[in-house]
Amino acid sequence: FTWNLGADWKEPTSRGNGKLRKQPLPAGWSVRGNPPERPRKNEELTDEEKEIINRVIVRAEKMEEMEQERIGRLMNRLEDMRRNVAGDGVNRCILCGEQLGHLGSACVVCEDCKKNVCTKCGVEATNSRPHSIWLCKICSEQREVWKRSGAWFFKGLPKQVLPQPMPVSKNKQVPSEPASSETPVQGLKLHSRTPTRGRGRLSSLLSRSQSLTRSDGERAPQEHLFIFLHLELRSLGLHPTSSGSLCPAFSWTASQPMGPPQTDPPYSAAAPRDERGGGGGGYAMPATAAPPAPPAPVRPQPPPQDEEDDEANSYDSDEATTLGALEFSLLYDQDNSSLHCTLIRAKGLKPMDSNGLADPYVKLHLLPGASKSNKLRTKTLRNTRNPIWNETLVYHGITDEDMQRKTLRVSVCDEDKFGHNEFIGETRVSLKKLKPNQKKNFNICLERVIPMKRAGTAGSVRGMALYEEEVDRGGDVEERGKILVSLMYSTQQGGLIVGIERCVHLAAMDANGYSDPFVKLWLKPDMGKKAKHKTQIKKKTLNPEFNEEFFYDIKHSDLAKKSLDISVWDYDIGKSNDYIGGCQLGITAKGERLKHWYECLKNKDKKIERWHNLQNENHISSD
Amino acid sequence: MAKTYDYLFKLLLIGDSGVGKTCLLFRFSEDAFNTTFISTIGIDFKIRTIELDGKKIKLQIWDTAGQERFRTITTAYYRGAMGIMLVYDITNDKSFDNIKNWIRNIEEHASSDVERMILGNKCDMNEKRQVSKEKGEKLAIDYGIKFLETSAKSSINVEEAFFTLARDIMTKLNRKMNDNSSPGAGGPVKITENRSKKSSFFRCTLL
Repeated sequence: FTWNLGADWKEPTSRGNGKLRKQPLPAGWSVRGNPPERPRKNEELTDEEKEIINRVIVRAEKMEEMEQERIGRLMNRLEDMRRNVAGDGVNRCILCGEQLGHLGSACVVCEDCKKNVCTKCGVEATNSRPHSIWLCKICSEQREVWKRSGAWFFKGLPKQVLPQPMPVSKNKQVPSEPASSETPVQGLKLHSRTPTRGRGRLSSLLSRSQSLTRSDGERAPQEHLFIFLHLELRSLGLHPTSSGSLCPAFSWTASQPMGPPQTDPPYSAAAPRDERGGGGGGYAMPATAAPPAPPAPVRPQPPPQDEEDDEANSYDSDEATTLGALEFSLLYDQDNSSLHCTLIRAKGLKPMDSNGLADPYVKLHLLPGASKSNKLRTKTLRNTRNPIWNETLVYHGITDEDMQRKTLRVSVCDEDKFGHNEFIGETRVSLKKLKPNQKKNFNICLERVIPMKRAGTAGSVRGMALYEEEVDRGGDVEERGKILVSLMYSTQQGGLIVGIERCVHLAAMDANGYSDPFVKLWLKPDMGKKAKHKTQIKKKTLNPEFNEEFFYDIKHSDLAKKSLDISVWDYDIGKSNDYIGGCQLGITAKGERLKHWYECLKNKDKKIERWHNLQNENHISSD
Repeated sequence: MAKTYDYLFKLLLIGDSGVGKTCLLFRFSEDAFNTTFISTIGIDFKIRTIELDGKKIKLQIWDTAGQERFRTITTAYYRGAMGIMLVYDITNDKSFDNIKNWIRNIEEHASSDVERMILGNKCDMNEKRQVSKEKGEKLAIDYGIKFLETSAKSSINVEEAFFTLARDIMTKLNRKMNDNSSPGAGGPVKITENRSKKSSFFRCTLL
């Protein structure tokens, strides 16, 4: 994304007449600089008005979501093109790999990536200048993505630019609590004039620009970084005081001494955080205009305050609980054949974004027979490790038999740009543990790996006890399928050749009863960018045949210390890919997996094929 | 909702309360008009897809409340806008005087790349006119912004206004994405760019 942006990107500031511009705004005009203790007259909005506005915001969010999906599809297409390059861009056409020069096809240089392409894979750009320019199809597509996504205007791929809905005093909607509890107090003080959301946006942009540059390693990523940084800083600079003056909750948060970690920051109705990014001067009600703040978040279904719940609520997330804790409740309504899943909140989620925060949402699957039709999800809350969703998701048509047979998989994910969402952690609940028409509350530690033996250090005693009692894993490790993998250490090439042959009996993740599987490889640790490989996506199949080989340039002696993460994913257009299952081969693995790895190391230049069962373990972030 | 489009342009309407922002949008999106005045609460938006140069462009047009008490909310939408319509009422002097304050607001809160346009609405009510067309044009020239007199009620220049703004955004898009030249050509580009801006503006005021 670094074709030269030229002077255009630094749009001249010479718009308008200097004299006119220097005039100060009359009283009541400036949106910034209004001290919070002196709010504008009639600022207070009625609940009715807020509700009307919130409805508009919801409508806009829906549209924005569709737009994000559209952009996601564009990005995926671009990524696919990048994945499939065949040539070196020097002697062979970067795209089709055809021989160039006097012996081969006619050659042109792509204006943007400066790689050589054949004229068939190049696009002659129509241009106002006398000489025409050529672009390779990838760079041409890249420009197209910039145009279509709005990135050309916003100097980066636009994230949702909508402010959060406003808190209405009688509304059930609860804004997520200020995400400051994990952020060092000092940091907040230093940045007391910079909105927290602005920093979130900046870092999310940074990570976005990194992810954008990821696949075209030839270009200098710091250049983009600079552009993004520069623009973001400028946009922050444009609003040096807006948050401070408009959003007293922020300054309050910043100066508030941090309480003990298990204490929630007091609920503040005046802090709807505009983490959608791009909102610039996001609004917030001045303190006086805020509706009377209830002492605690209003929950649609307040959990019964029995002893167990008190314990559960005071659960404090231990350092060892790296993934975080999740609080939710389940109710099987037998008469209406419905299962009500209320996702209350999570605490201390693992930071996923470069700003040290996450954009978490919860995904539900009913197992076995995972499919899109039984996937439910909450909304995404931005820039928080302590999200409060208070959302109830309902499965209809749940029979007693289902309740005996099925397992609910609850996973917490971090929403990322363009649906490259990352899995944080999950838990499973065997539904037979639920009594009909009786709500059950859960407060569990999220995890990544099915514990054969429990990681004993995590969580409070009470929390773990609860967890163990509720989550019976023995019986419900459902079939995820098998994968045929070949390993060979080639002495001639000096590296490991991994063959992904095929998978069978994969779990169906899509509504059509199939998956669109692909396989990711990750040689860990310390392999940098070369560590990851992906197969092609096979459409609509549970028994895909890949027959793809991947090469890792690595010394034999080094290979022994690595382990190979293999994971199978269901590709979803414009959405997060679903994790189907995985396995890890390496010296630390067990059984068949260890044996396979060991045999490969021992028998150089011999291709060894083995079937491995896919399990729900060690997700590789879906990037 | 399977309607496909090539580009999404986000526009914003601002101006004093009662100048007819909502009516302009209503005319443009539904081709209808309503005489009863209903003050907009906070914000609203409408969608219309148009075609320019063979490209389908989805316009998301944000309507804002002119009332000052909604200012904090409405201002939050400036940054996401690619084009902004500044609307005044030709029968209301004060709304015209306030245009420069609205422009200041844009300069503070909107993207520096935002395309702008000034509309003098209610031009069907010539008998009550307080702001001459020349005055409107003069202001537009001072700021280097395009200008049109419109009437949502009589459906005058409404389509033209939105299409002009959309076209300006499209032009900017094409200039940025198709004409970006090799490094070092930055300086001259800047100059020619300014000049072309001026001339296109004059062309428009003659409309």
